[in-house]
Amino acid sequence: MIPLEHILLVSSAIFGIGVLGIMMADSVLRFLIAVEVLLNASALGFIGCALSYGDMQGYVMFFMILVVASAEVSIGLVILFCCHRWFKTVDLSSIKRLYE
Amino acid sequence: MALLAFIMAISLRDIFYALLCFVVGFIMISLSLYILSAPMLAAVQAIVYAGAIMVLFAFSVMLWAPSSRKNMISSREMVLALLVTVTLSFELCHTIIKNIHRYQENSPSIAEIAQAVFNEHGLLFELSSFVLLGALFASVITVKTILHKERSFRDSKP
Repeated sequence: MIPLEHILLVSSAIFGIGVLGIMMADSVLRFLIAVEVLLNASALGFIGCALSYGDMQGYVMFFMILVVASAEVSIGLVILFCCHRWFKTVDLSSIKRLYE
Repeated sequence: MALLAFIMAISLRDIFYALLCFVVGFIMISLSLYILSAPMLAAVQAIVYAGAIMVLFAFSVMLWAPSSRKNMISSREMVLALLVTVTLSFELCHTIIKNIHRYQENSPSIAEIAQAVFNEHGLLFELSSFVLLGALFASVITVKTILHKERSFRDSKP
């Protein structure tokens, strides 16, 4: 039996890593990876709470997070494609400089 | 292990190794779900993330990966990012520990999950399928528009 606080602490630690990844991202790809980490952290938290309270809402939310993650990856890769076509790079700082 | 894998995924310079660590992190999350007596969700996690999403990432790395990290962020920005992250994490942990309730193991069967997803939240499930379809159409139309514009621009050049 794993205490809920342990699950939520791991989940929040992964969430923190995701936030750090977003702030340190230097390319669009790394940004997308960090967003995926964030979504995974929230999914783990939802499952922990669902198991703790015996509620099915957490399971449904897990599936919704999967759908959002899949849609986000497809849109994110199109944005990556656009960046590569228009700016000839996927580095965020270069894109920012070129945009200015 | 999952924490270590995710830390390496965001900090490794080579994007390919970062992606490998990312996969390891997903598999560890999947194992955690299995340990939490949610085997179906563990399987879904492994199939969807490590199977489908990672293939897309691998393709994008293969096609557009930057060869090296030319534009490293400055140490001042890194310290600021660390500070914000630590503060947010501390706030989150404090809230969790303050409002915690005891864990009661109550793992539902697959039939119960299916009942919840398809009956009680059927509309949400249908809407999620529309979200996926919309994302697919948006991706295809955007790429086609960009390619068409590029082609017409190239043709208009003398």
